Amino acid sequence: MISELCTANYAGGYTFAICGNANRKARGCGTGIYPITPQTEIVETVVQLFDKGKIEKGRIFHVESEHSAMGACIGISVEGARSFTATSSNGALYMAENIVSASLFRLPIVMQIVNRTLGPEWNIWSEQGDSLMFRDWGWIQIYCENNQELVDHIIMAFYISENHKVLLPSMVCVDAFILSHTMMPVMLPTQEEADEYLPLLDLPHRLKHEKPFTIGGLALPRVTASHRYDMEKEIYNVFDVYKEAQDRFEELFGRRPEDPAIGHYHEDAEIILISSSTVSSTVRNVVDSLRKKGIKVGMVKIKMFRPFPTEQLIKLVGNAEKIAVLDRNFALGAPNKIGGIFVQEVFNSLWFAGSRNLVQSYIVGIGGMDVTPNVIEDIVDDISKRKRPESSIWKGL
Amino acid sequence: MIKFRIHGRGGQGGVTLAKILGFMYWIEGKWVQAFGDYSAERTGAPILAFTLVDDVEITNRSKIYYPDHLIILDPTLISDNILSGLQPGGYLIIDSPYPPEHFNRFPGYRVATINAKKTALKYKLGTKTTPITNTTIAGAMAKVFGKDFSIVEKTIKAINFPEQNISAARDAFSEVKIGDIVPGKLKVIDVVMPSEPIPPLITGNIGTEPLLNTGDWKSEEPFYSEDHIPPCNFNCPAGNNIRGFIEEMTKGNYDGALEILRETTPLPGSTARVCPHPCEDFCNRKDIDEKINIHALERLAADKGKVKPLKPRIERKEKVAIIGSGPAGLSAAYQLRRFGYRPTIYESQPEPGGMMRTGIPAYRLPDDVLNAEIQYIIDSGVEIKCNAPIDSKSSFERLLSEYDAVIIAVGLSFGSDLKLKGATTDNVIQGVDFLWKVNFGEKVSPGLHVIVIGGGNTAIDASRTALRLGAPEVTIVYRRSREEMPAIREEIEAALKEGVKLRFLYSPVHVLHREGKSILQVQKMKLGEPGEDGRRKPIPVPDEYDEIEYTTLILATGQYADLSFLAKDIAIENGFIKTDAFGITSHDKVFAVGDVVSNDGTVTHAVGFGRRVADAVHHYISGAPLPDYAQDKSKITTAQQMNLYYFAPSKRNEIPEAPVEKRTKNFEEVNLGIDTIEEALRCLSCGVCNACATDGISKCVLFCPERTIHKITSTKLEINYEGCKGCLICMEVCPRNAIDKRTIKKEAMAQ
Repeated sequence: MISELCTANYAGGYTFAICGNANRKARGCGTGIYPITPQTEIVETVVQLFDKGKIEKGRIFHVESEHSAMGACIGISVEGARSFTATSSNGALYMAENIVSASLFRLPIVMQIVNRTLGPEWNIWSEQGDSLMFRDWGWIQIYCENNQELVDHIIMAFYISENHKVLLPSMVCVDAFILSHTMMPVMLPTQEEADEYLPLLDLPHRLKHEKPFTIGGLALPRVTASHRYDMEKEIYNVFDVYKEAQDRFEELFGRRPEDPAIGHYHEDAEIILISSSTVSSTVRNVVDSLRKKGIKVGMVKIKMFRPFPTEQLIKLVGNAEKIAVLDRNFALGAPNKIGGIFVQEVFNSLWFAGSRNLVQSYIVGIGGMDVTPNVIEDIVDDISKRKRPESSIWKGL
Repeated sequence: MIKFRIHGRGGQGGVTLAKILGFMYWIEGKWVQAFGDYSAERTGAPILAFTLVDDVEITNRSKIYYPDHLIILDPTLISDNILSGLQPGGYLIIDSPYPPEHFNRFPGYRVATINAKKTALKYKLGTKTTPITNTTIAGAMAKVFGKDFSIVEKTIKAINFPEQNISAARDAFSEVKIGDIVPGKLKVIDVVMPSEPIPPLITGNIGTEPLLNTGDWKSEEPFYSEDHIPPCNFNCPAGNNIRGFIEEMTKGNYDGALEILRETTPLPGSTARVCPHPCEDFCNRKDIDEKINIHALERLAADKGKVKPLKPRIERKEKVAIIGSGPAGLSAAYQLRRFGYRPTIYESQPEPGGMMRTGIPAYRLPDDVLNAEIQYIIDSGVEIKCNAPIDSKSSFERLLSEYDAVIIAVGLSFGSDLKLKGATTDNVIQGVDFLWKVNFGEKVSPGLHVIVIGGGNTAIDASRTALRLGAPEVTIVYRRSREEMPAIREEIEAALKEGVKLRFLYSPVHVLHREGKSILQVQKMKLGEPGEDGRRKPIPVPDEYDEIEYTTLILATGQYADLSFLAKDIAIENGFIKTDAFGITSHDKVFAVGDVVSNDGTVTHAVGFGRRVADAVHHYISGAPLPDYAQDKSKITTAQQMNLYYFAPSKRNEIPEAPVEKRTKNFEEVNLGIDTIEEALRCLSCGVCNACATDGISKCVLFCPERTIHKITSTKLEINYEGCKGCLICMEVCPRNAIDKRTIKKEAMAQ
């Protein structure tokens, strides 16, 4: 790996190009691209590297919309080539039909989503609502905390998605601007390393002109039901394949990417903060400083949202008395006015496990509002005094 | 951890500077995080950027509220608030030509200054309006924080910036001026998080963007032009503000419209009926569908509007005499009255009006219209003496001795004699005399066959008058083709419609008398090269003749003035009085105006000239400067400069005419006028902002990305220059070329 100082957008574009090129000995790679703030630098980087000859076997389709961008990726992927793209916010909404098609076609496309608030009103800053809109349709979802996680998880995403036990597309998500436009030190894979890490893509249902068949045609109800049920069974294979990918990563690069859910000071914690993406970094910062003051607070970061790492979460949370879940997203009209999307999964997980911890939902950073250490300290303060949970509490208004 | 906060404006490279700083420390082995605080992505908008430096991994992902040092790329951003959260003893590194001592308003902090814009421009980094100073500042920073310059060099190479960045940084490294801690009581400005209530989406102001005060960043700005000339205004011989009066018509304000017209003409009702309206020929609307019917609107304003007689603010005692009450004389008198004089007009005829009375038939200009307009002039304070000819040297001398100034406005009242061989006096008459007789009610019987010789308005008027007197056959003989006829186009068409016959390319030779009948022999002509006036000259075709029988032969081949009464020291040239454009003659007390000077031949030209001669007389008497009527042709708004696609096609409202079979039996008015302001709404308002009042929402308001344009009245807009970033989109989208741009001279750098 080579050390670089770069933005998440550059890191993502670079890693896509290197991983795509790693398939040059098979059917190459390709992408359909369409710009949108704050993702544009990703596809620009891919094009620049392509122009420099870093992609030896592949093609870039400059299309007129996000819908066509994913359409191109579907075409590329179904031909057996490695496929990737990136989008953000309303771009993802415009792409929606083909996003769902990609997973229902069981195509291992990898897409970087730069999480940006959905408009109107027009807002370019960070919120997770865009990618979370697609949580139910078979895409693997990873929420990254820093630029390094993004790089690692793009490499791993190709490995996991293309595995025959999975064959589902992946979204690797980063927060708008907080990562997309922020420079920090990153280790980037060399071409040789990517070549070694990633097996050549062998898509079992790729189209072959010598043996034509149709995918995506009319299906009778029971056929569709059966296909969906297959997806439901197989999406949980991601956990095993994820482990394989971690092992292989560690073996080749000497670092082990973290688990789908990770704890920090969680073992003896009375209060656990659950968070995702960059909020987790700031939470860790606050947990460290509060621990120095003797406050028994810990954290759990949920990195993988789909499939949801329930078992790990239960283990990590253990017997903590109080749990604060920080959501940079919101589902309107949810039961008990608890609209955080992560917190709903946490409730489900804990209830099923018979756990009766006090869980309080906090909504932070909506519309790109800054989530400062102060905000998190307030949350710790609030939950430590709390006797029973209530509806989601919005912070920072 | 060291925290830098950069204050700059969008487009200056501030975020890149944060990254360059990050690189400098990363090369040294530190952990860094560099990012921008992205607000609205606009050039000129204030932006923040941050660089964090630490020995261990940085995990705080929020913005920086308590920086250790500030870097200020644009001194216009400096205010006390800029210190918000700054730690005591921190540096303010400012792009400024001044030394650090200049910034002594920051006690407790340190200031370093570098004239980075100058240095950047020296190495051609960025443009004059937007120099890119980030690498220059980086050089200065290295010095301030005690680094070796090699770090900067390595950084700039690592990010692949061109060589001249290193030179600029090196200059800055040696030129940066570093001050000590500013003495005085430390000024701490606390961080204030916004807490103002947010208005709800539905009842609040949906989608309103924050006003960004980027006005001081722009190098050009738009403004609503006041010197763009609509082509109609430019081409009006009377100098009428056509666009202005039509604007009032769009609001249904007839009085206001007439008031605007009356500023330049006392005879709008007359010119609306008889002017050949060159304004319409240049109307830009014809590039969409059909030109605006301006004369119909002028007539509507004149017929329906009401304006009180003039009441000048001052009364002047100097006496001015005007010889002749034609349009030139009336206009001169009216304008003099506006200055406060009480001029006296001497008219030889029993009624005032000159050629409008004696020459133009009533079916074109009814007496009541003319009478009303002259009455308005009289009511305003002008005296008209009729049956008072000034036709002798002695009477002229008397005027000169009694008055402070004399204006000659006698027109051309005599028809030129063709001296046709064989013509007898009993059935040959001058066109002007023929029309005079009819207009003053003398009995005229032209007989069965009338021939009119000539191609001007007198010829057409005489022919149509002859028809109305019962002549069953009226023929106009003209030696050139219809193209060259100087008569008003519509008049020619009306004459044809009424049954007048036109014989082109025939020139009269002589008159024969055969078997008691008068016969005009004519010779066939062909057109040769264009002459001095631009019209092609007729050339006789040898041996091709024709004969036409007549009972009355009317000659309308030109007019002249009898100037025998004039004093000798008044210069005359080819039968016309010699003056400049303002009617100033060779005699300092004598002025001349109208056809007797210029032979323009229209009421409108005479009205315009009358205004100028009034200026000249006023200038002569009072010493007031002569106005400058010269208009810059390049300021005329052309159709190409406009965005015509905004305008929906619409039909021109034509003036209805009385039916031919009815109108040729009497002298009732032929053109009946329109009674709708719809025609005014078709006006494109070329070059003049009307806030798009006639075609929907104001386009500049709609397209301004900063929402800095607002309506102040229904037809007036205003630009908020504090928010205007000078993108000039408004100028591009303006349907009517009403917006211009101007360059802004940057003031000396603010402190």
